[in-house]
Amino acid sequence: MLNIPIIDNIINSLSIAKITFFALNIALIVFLIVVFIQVRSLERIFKETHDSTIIRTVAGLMLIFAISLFLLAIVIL
Amino acid sequence: MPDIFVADNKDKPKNEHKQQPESRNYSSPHNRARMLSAFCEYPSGIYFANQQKDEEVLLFLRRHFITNTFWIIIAVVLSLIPIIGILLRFNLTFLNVSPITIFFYLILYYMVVLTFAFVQFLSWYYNISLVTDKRIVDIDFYGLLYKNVASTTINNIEDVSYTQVGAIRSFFDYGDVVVQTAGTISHFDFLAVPHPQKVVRIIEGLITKRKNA
Repeated sequence: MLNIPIIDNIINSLSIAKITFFALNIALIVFLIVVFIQVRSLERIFKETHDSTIIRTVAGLMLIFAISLFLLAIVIL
Repeated sequence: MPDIFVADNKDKPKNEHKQQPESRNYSSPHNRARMLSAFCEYPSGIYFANQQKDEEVLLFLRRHFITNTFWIIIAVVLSLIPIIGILLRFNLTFLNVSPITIFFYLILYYMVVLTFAFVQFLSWYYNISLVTDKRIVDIDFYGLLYKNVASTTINNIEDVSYTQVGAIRSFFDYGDVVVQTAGTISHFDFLAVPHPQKVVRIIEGLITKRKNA
């Protein structure tokens, strides 16, 4: 215990399953950020006018969805 | 009285429909490379880094789409596992977690499967070989963090050959094209590209054209 009421409450309310979920979710977000950066950098090397936009959009949407899931999990779990 | 037989007028074209595509191709030989295209001659709307203004892309190559079968099957099987678990009413009470936590895990699981499929698709999508009227360009992208861009001029190409081994490759008509060069990079490999004999013929044509010029 850290004797800080807010942090202690959070730690008490978390189970191993929830901590694992948050850890995996953070790992996924970091991975998707790397994917998005790579897609942007590859777009500079090679570009197909229409399809590159679709791929970048998909990568961005996946990242947004993973972040939303993380925020939603904080609120609900 | 109606005519029973009318002889073809030899001065007129026999079939106008057949002539239309030829004339259209002659005026506009460019083809649109689609997202899942693995082979495209004279592709339009394709640009690469360091492309010169007067440089035209003649050939656009990727691995044959059939080479993606393995990871597609894995992704489909992984996607079906939770559905099968739900259908068989697999009991998760021993985990001692709330249903809402399981639901969040399920969404996270599908996100991971989707990410796996997306990264595999990117590995295919950004593994590109281009043949222009001046050089050949090979863009390699593996395992998310490895990128390699290599190019050599047509003048440096010494030999082009292709290998097509196995029934699947023969059936789907894809193989490996090896371009031997005199530059610092000794050879360029276009792996599992469709119509390898056509690729070799086009590159050989370019070499001959350069030598004659």
